[in-house]
Amino acid sequence: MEQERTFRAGIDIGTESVNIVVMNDARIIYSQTLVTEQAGPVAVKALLDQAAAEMKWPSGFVPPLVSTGIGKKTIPLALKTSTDMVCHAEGARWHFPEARTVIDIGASGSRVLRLSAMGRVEKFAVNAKCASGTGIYLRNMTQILESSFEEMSALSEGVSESTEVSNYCAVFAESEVISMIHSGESKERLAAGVFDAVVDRLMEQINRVGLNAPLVMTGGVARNQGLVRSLERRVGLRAMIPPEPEIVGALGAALMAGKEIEAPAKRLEVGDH
Amino acid sequence: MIFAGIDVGSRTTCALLLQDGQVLSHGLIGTGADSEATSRRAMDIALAESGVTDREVKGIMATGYGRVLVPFADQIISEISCHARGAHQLFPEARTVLDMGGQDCKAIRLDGDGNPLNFTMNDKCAAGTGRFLEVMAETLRLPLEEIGPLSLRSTEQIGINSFCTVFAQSEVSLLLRQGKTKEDILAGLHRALCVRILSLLNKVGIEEEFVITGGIAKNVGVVRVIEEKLGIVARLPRESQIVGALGAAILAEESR
Repeated sequence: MEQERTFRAGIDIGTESVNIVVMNDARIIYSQTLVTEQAGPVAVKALLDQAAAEMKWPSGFVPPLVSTGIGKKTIPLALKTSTDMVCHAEGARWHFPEARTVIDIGASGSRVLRLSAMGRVEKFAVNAKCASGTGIYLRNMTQILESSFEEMSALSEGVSESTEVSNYCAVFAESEVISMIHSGESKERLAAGVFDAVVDRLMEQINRVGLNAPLVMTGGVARNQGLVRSLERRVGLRAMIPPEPEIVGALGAALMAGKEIEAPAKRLEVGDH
Repeated sequence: MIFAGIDVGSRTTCALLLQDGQVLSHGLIGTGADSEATSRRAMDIALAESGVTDREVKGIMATGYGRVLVPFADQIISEISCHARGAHQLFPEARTVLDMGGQDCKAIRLDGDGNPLNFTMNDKCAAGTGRFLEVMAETLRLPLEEIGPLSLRSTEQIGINSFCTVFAQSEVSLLLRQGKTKEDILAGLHRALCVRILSLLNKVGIEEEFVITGGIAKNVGVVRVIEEKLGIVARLPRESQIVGALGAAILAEESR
């Protein structure tokens, strides 16, 4: 069909979830998140099948596709791969063109990007080696606090003095929080303390990169109001959150797919950093 | 005269009674949520075993992570001094001690009299402590005591890429799903752990005799990898988890 010619897709294969964004004419026309333990290619096929069914694509049609995320190399269908950094920067700027700092917290790592006025990544810091302060850290803490992410955010709301989680290591911090619960520490103050601990880790990266307003947060963890509040308090800036922060990486990849089609000569821009 | 040493670790507590340089008895139990009660219980076990009463004990030295939580101790001292002194008592030629417990790892260099010369320690990151192996044993659904011997039966070399305990846990789950054997995974984990141990040891420098203390000395797989990498034979105490308490008891006696 004629209209599908202008379709572009981006896929972000993370450690905990796989996201797809389909764009047409600079608009997001479809997006989906699959939280899965399946291997990248299996999850991507499921997502593409779902998209094809919902958008009534002719059989066998796959739009030009760019992949990103930890499993980006596992997708033979992709025109090319792009780095998380470029995709999160592009995706954040699509929502907020004036963005100068992007903080992305994923399941197993986080990154802070400083952008120039033109949107180039000027400086960045990445944590991918240590679980402290990552989405997995937060998820494990929700289990210990027997709360959902939303409940944990609600718990922390209005807490003026949080309980300090003094252990850096995710494993030791879990034991610390468990023993504090046993000794009667309030869940509200602990929830706030856990968010503050995640912000402590982010500050290490922010201090290396510098922080310019406007600030955008991406990645599913940005849905967490408690964390956003803690970060905003610490840096004294408002954070702008896209309506679906978890698809920003995939959105960036879809935007890169668009560039790839429109200007194949500009390949250098999306090389691995 | 009888003296006592109590080592309250993050996972294990040991109380030990010493008379004229000879160990009378010891009590070794898991550290509970209440360190005070745990230390009392370990002490009671040691007393009961040798038929000694509280009043016969002339001095009590507490050490370890929970040393300030032993209300009946007369003195406290850092576990570095105790491990050095305890290792020296068992192996008078000891010059390097590796002590790995439930939540930390220490490399200590000591002089010919059992005094620590210098040391390095990791208690910030679970990777490189006994906790790493505890988490992995849990992930593999194996009792901690079994992982050492099992790892020796490995036939395929597997590399573990994650440094972090949390990420390594996911990596292990993935390896299991890929059909890798527990034996091979364990051997890979032990090699990964040894990388952290060796970097600690290299900071203080290794001189023979080399003694391994703490719970890790009971893991034959880890001991074997360390020995291979260093090219030296490690000295192992018969009961590796009492060395800190032994050192504490000796230091209690010497401080009289």
